[in-house]
Amino acid sequence: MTERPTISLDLVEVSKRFPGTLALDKVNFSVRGGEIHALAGENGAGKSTLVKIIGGAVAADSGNLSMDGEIRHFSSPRDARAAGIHVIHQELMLFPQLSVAENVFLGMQERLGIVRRKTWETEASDILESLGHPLDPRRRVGELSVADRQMIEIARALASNARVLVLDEPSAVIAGEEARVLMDRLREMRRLGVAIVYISHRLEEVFAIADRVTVLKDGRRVATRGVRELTPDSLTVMMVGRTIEDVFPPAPTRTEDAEIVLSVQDLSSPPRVLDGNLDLKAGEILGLGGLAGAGRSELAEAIFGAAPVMGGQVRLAGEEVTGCSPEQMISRGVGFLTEDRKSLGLLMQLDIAANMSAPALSKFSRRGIFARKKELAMSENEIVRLSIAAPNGEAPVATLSGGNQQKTLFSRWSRTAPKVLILDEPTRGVDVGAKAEIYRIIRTLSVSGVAILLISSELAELVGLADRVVVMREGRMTGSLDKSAVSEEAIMRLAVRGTA
Amino acid sequence: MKPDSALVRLRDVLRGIGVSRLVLAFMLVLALVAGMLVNEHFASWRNFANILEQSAGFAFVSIGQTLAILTGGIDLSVGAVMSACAVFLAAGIDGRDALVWPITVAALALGALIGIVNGLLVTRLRVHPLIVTLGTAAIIEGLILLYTLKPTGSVPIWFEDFAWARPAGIPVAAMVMAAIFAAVALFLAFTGLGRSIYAVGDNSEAASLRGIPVNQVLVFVYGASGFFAALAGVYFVSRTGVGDPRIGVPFTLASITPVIIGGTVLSGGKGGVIGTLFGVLLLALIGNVLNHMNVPTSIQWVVQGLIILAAVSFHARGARK
Amino acid sequence: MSTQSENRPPGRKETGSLGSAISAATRRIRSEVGLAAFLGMLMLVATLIQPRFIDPANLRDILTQAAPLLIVTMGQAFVILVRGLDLSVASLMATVAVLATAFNAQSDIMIVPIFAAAIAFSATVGLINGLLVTKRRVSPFLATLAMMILLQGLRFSYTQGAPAGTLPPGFRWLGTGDFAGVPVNLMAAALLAVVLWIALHKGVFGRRVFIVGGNPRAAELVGIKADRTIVACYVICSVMAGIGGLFLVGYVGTVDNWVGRGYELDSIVAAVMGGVVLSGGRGSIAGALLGALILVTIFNIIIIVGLPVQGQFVVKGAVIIGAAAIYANLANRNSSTP
Repeated sequence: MTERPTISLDLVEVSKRFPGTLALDKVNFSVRGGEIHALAGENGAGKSTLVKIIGGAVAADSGNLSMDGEIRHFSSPRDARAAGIHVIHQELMLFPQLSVAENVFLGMQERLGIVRRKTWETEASDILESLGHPLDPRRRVGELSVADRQMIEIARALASNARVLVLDEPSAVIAGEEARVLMDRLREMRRLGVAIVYISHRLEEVFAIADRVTVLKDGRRVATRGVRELTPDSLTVMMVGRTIEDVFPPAPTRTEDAEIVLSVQDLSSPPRVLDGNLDLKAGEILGLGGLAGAGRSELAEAIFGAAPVMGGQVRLAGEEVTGCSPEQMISRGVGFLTEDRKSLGLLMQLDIAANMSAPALSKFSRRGIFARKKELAMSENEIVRLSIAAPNGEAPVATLSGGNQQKTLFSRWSRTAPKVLILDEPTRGVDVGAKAEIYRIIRTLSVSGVAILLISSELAELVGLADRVVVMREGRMTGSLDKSAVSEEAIMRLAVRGTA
Repeated sequence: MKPDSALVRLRDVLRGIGVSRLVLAFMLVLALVAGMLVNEHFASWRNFANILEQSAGFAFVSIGQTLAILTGGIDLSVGAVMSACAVFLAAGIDGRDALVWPITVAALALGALIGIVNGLLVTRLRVHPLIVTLGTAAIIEGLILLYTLKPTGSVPIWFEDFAWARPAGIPVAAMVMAAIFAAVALFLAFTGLGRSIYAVGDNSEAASLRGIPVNQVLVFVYGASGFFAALAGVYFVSRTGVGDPRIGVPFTLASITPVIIGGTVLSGGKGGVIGTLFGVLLLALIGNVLNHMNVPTSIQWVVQGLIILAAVSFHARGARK
Repeated sequence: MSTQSENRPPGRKETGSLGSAISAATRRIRSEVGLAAFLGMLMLVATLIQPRFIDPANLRDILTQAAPLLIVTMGQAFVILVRGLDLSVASLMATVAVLATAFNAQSDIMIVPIFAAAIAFSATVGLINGLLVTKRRVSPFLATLAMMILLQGLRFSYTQGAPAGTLPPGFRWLGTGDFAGVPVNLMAAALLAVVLWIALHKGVFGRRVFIVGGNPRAAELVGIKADRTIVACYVICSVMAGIGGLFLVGYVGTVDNWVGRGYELDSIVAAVMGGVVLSGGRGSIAGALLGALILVTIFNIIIIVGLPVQGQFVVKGAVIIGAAAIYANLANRNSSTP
């Protein structure tokens, strides 16, 4: 890697209007070589629009973007990349069928001419090695883990001599050790003079890695500060416009002798779940921690009957239900709020009411005819009960914000009167304010006697909400922590090393 | 990090071939053995030359179809383009020696042009290629039939050499076929444009974010598909001496079968023309064997349907694990 | 505490969602009203060119001619709604027609068993299509393509070239006759339309179809057996094609191996034009019917104008691309918010 001249990227009074919203309102933003500049703000604050403008995917309506003092106009991502700007998107943009080397270099050089495969392979392998993450350059990317793929993206940035690197919520898909490795690489790139824009929801990350922070709110820039001038509290205030005290509602004092409603023994669903064990009591919130790829979501799917079970047992109030279909699990009082809201949870083409009633269609059916009026009335009640920001039950669910979509899904499952509710990352991609509301909904459900299995990558969430936490690593349980023993460090130790 | 390169290469070759291709090769051998058992003349050079000549037109169309399917699309206009170019060629030459080369070039260009229009419609209107090419196929077929309902035009006798000549016993058609397959296979494996075709089929959003000119790649692919369909049309004019307005009809759907049998997946990003070549040869052999057995066309259709189902079921199961 | 955070977001956000909710609701109505208006406009154009077009007798002829397509298009719509496509409908129509002649019936009493046999046969074909698509994960395009070729082969091996049997005379009445002043086949189409409309838009089954078509994996996770719903849609489509085939034979009057040729394309074109989206989860029975009527009207205008029949292909092709482009652009505009 050669020494790069220092770089500066400046956005001056950039505005962008989409139909119905002013996404960015005269925003100023700048980043220098050798600096990590974090971009913080709630969902919908305008972060992703700003990233798109920097990356050339969207053109600003007004304002200027300049590099090294020279005004530039990017009409496509290719223009931006040619200028040395490299954006790593949240959903990694890779080609699963192609090789590691091709994923690093394709679209970069010798665009349409002869491909020098050998050179690509040696160079890709060199770069990955320099990142401390060696990979066989000939392997198909589809076979690799999320962390490997993220390294390929970073290798791509290095290979293209990126002078500005933009990372859009990189830690949303990785956790723990992998996230730490990523931070180390970024610090290394900063040392090499790359200008880094780091977008994140997670305050602790911002404080761990950034030099400066710019906070956006409702399309406006609230402030740009050096990280040392800030505290987590003051940053939160800037992001949401208020402090968040006791985000987590207090847990009621509980009786120890509640019955076990869900019992999972030696459950295996290869390749991700090898030996799943847990007991869940009525009215309890059981946290399930672990790194990305530890097999948590897959365990949930196996319990719910949405993934094939190869061995072990699932018991529901003593009755064996191993290998039951989701339909049978739902009829026995189990609900599953999935991690990926958009592709596995919501029915994006339908309205709020239809999204709420989906697991309970038979309740709205009279001799095969659907009781639409009853469904709409139900949805109106739910909109009020969970204070969902929507005009009525006929509003398409696609028009709601992340938090309101998530509340719609909570309504869906709480209406089935579940005995057991599995929540997989229930606050992912939800802004800070809505989080607190969702925590309260979870707590209310548990107080009413629902047994809750809470899967979360946010350690604070597990510590603040769960009565007990079990931790998974590589498909097996590595430990169980009582309320008194739960701490972020303890969970992380079990998740990373497998011992307390 | 650098294991013994010969071993690596062997592993790559095996991985590159894949289980499905081995099965395909096995099926080919099976068809050959069956042919030899059925008919004593089957294993003659003359019969193989016949098979190669009969499958050449089919092979040309399937190359273009492979490219379209690799991008995750499909080209249902290939049959119509074939017919259009055949009619254009035969009617344009109409027996005049001097016009043979210019009109042949023009016919190939016409095919490429129609393909480019397909590509532009797919990329500009953002309509699924299935619908676009279904639509252009109907338009082209309508226009051809408005022009003529019967085979038309004629070509000089020497033009028919392309389809019939066998210097040193090797059919010209087979040589052209081999050259084109080799060229396209090398193009797909070793050029940026070739790799971009895979990239677009694998993840077109990622491709466009990386600055791969997705739209141009698609226009190129449909243009190429049109070109190869036109080549097949030219070949059939050379074989039959006239421009038949319905010559391409059965080829639209038939061109998809060898692509699928050859292991190219409909969702794109995986496969290649070598598989397609094997698919073409397998189908031609089976057809030849069935003909030797005097199996009626109707039963051959049933066999064809079953082969498609067997092939896709097999690949679908492989892809699921 | 942050009680108010999500339920009263900044003003423009809310107007955004309210506004788009309203526009989505109106669009749902508007797409069908728009189609009806387009149909009216086409009829007006036809009348201006040839005043005889609007004659009740002529309209009756057109509707009689359209009835089989209306029936097949409704079936096709169900398959498209669950992200599928059925290329085997035309081949099935012809096969069912050949099957009907196999009875070699002289008496109208035989119409009942012929219909029963045709429906049973079609349902089996649909079941196989559906199982191939769901259990074997064969792409709908290829599964139904193979089925199309298979049926063609079976049909030709049975007929050995030309069908020999006869149909009961009552078939002619079914295909061209009137009952109480209304064409019989149109009445049948209307009856089927009512049944399918109730099933799709008023029934629990229809709700499942929309959920599965919109997102099959999410459907599984709310306890809906997506495979079962998809198979049911293929069965409905094939049964409609079978019934449509019998009415078409009645209309044409003679059976050959290619009865219904082109209906696979026409039914897809009609459904897409009627707003049934190929990516699944969106569409309606009314839209499918309007799409089919528009297509038939366009064919008639071609004949009125004096263009050769081959011109129909050209118009059909242009119409399908145009309609798909319009709907694609509508969808894009819908989702262009950040």
